[in-house]
Amino acid sequence: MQRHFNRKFDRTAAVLGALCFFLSALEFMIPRPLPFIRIGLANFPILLALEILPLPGILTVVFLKILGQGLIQGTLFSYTFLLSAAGSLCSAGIMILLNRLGEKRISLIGVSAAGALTSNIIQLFLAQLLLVGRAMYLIAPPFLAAGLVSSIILGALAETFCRKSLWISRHKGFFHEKA
Amino acid sequence: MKKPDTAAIVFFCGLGTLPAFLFQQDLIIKISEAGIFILLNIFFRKKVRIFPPLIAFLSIVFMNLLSPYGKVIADAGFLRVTDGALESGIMKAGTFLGLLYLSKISVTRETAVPGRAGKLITETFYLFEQLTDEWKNIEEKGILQRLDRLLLTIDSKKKEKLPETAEKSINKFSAVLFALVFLGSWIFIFL
Repeated sequence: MQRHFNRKFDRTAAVLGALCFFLSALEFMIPRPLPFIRIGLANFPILLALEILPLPGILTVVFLKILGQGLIQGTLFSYTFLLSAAGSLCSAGIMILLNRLGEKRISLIGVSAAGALTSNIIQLFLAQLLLVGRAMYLIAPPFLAAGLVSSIILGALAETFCRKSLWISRHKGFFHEKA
Repeated sequence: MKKPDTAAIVFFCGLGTLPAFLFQQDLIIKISEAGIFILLNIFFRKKVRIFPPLIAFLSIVFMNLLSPYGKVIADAGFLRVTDGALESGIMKAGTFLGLLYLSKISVTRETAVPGRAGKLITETFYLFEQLTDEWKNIEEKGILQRLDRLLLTIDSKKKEKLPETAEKSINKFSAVLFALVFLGSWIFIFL
């Protein structure tokens, strides 16, 4: 029984991790107006993980997302990876806290927006420290605004997907039953 | 005797080159090394997009120019270009690009990670390939319906045996060339 649970747990985390890779690759192909502005598509599976997986599963998906982005985009040894990893870990922490403590009071839109803001603030801080110095305040407003808008859209999509998806309802049922 | 894995050699050469590149204080050598990493990327197989790194390079230099220090070497009215800020900007931008391209050469999908985490990563990469293949075959219209169908299709497939080795994208010559770059980067540290 436990083995079946573990297998299902690993498989679901791997599917969501693979979806992070897929969306990362997709985002990598979309031309960006400025190199610092990103849509953050790879956060979508993390929002789904918040709805269906227990805490260790969510952390596994976050780990896979960070590693996958480093491997697919080839940035594992670079500042880009450091910025992305720090941003992802901190935003995951905030999203898990809001999702678990807020229960039904905070929607995935709110969770996604808070996660994106946290991630972007951490990345700005590190970029200021390592790359561009005090002039970072010039990038900060468009960077934060773009992150906020895209995260709200992503959160709304995740909220709709969680309500309508058959895949989500199957997995949600399984893990919630076991919990 | 087991043959050495070229992906592993390239990975460890990259890992070994990393500190030599980071500790390099000479601006000319650092920029040259970054240039070599970009050339190696072109040579190895990878497509190098010109504009995003160029914009990143120029943005970092420009941002650094906004905090002037040192002797004024040019005055563009709204912006005073100082030698210290320019040098610092080029150094940071060069480090940023160098690390990015060093990483792109060193890290490939064939880079194996040991242990349980390694198995999970292998499975994730396998599922990623499946998602990419299946995406084209899904006929649902809306993006969310399409995604739901895609996940259900992946779930319904029986777990096939994971491939032992992926197709190699790095040949031995590339690995030897990269090993020479690794040695060269350390020689320049002590010169």
